[in-house]
Amino acid sequence: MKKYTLDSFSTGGHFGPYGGMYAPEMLVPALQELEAAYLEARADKGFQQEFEDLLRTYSGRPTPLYLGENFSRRLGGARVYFKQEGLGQTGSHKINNVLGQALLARRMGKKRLIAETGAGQHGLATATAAARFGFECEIFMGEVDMMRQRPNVFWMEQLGATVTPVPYGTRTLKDAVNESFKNWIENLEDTHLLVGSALSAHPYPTIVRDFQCVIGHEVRSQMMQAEGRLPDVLVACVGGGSNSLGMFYPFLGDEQVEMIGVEAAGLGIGTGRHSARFQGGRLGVIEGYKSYFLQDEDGQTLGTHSVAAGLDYPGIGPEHAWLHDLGRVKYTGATDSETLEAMKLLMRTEGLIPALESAHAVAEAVRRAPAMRPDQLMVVNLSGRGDKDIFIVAEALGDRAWMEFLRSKVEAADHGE
Amino acid sequence: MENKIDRKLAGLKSSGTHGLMAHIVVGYPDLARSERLLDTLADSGADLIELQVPFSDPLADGPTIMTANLKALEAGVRVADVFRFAEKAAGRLSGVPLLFMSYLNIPFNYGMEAFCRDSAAAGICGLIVPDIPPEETAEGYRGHCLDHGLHPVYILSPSSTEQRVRLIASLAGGFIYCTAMVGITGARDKQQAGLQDFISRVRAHTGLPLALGFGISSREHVLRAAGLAEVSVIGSKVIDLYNQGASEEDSLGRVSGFLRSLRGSAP
Ligand SMILES: Cc1ncc(COP(=O)(O)O)c(C=O)c1O
Repeated sequence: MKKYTLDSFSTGGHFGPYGGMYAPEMLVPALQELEAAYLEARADKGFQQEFEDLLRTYSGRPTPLYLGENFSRRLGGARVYFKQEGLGQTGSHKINNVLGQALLARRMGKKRLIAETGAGQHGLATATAAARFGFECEIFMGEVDMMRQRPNVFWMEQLGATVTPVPYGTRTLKDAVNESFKNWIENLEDTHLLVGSALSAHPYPTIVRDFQCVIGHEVRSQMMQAEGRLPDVLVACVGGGSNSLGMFYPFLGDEQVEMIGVEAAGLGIGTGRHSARFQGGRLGVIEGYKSYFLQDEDGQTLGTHSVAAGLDYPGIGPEHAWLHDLGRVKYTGATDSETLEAMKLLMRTEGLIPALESAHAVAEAVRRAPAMRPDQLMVVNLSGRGDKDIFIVAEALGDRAWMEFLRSKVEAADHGE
Repeated sequence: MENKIDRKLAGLKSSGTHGLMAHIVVGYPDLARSERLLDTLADSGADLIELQVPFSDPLADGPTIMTANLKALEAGVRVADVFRFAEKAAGRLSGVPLLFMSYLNIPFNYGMEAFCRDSAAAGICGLIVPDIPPEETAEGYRGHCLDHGLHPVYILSPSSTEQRVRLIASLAGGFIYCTAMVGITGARDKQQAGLQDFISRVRAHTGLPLALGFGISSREHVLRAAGLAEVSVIGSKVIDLYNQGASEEDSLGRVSGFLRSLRGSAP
């Protein structure tokens, strides 16, 4: 285990050469205060108990580990299990980290939660926790993402959050991250910045990973119960890297367990329109941490693309960069079209509708499972369910009836109904 | 070799003059026009000028400066252009020390030592890199600065703890950039409470001159700053005024008039 894990609190937040706290001085005292508060909370049994209780009673944990027999038979190889994070409250794994950080923010006496969001799943989870705990809430979201994830914007607002559009730069997740940081700098006294993935300046990558580890711990005991042994392969999609690290981390010391992180290959690596940091990214220090980033020769971040808004981001969490270099986790990519095909297959064989982000992991299973033996075990993390993606998927599949439906809704609205 | 920043600050001190440090984003709105803006600032009484290297993700900048960064990049400005710009500027404006303000990823990509060497060769006197905290060595940033005769200018904020004030004061070169508020850049009226107390805390740990910046956007602000620090930093306000002009000439006139009005008010 020691080989692949380290105590980031004793290294200044560094994972090998990656990570760190590259923040402007205005923020450093707040990050240090958060670090101290988290270390205290982590050692507090009462805090941990309250977190576990919330996950169980409010979010519906444990989420099932489901053997997809039809899917496995169709591919003709490994037995493929699905970890159904999409069945938790708000429909994705994001709620795990959000509940943990909301408890931490309350403990620190903060009154207001702010967050960045791409797909809107993290924003939705944050707005939900804010409603539950009585925090004021503001969510920053790129204008492009607001257009493509309107259902989540609607629900965030209904939950009482203010959703602030970010009109700068690429108008996606990266720009929302920048804006949420700036808003935090201006409101340090009463506000907690609730970072949604295992990235940003220390201590965020570690805090987020710790709160997401519930996924891997559950997979471990569920697999022991179902099969009496550990899985052979774990597969998860990697945006910033929180659902993947949450599942991988508890298995890092089990060398026989192979781990695959799937990045968004967008329209194909060769087109340059993708979000695969390990295929074309270089070392950089951006948004508070050192890692691999998609950037030009001068160090300006590049525009990224993915059909999944939650993976459409030029940086990757620093612990992933380290695990990548150690060779402990392997990283591959799935294109938009492979992802949609995989999504269709999972829907038709198992009746599961995965989020577009998670469908990237399913695409890797489609590639890999046939080459495995029937006695081998794979776990695919379904980090979220696909309800939020209905507009994108309907458009991508060119569904005429859906387009007609949208048109009729618009006409009805125009006639003041 | 003596650093021009030291000579300038010593001169201000001996004449009892409050200094003004102005700021531009190199290449905003394009290279030629930012060159004329720079010359206007120098002609209108700026004692020091920060040349910001445009960056895609300027974490500590508010809308005005961030938008200028993005526009400069859209106009196609490259890091190599910024070095050429600086070299020409340093040749023309020998009496005004120039500093680079850059986010870390730019020198990190360029190579830290090469960035420091080329900055010094271009006639730059100091670097301000807001996202290098003193805990990170950042590929030997401080050492390379010192080796090449550049002042590594560090930032302190009213939220900085006693321990951090001491640490940063021990590393700083030239002067210390104190933010007038816990916030991001941008002209505004809000004033941080306890500024006097913050400045006293900093003075207790350093004999270096202090520059006060962030939000300084009026004669009143500068007058107040003059009672606290050796230098006032005028950042976003210059770009805001520039953006209000109906023509380039009008823009430069607004900037020049504003800067001269500050100079007139300084004790
Ligand atoms: C369902 C879902 N899965 C995955 C991700 C990617 O994030 P991460 O890599 O942090 O798990 C997102 C992000 O929005 C998401 O909504």
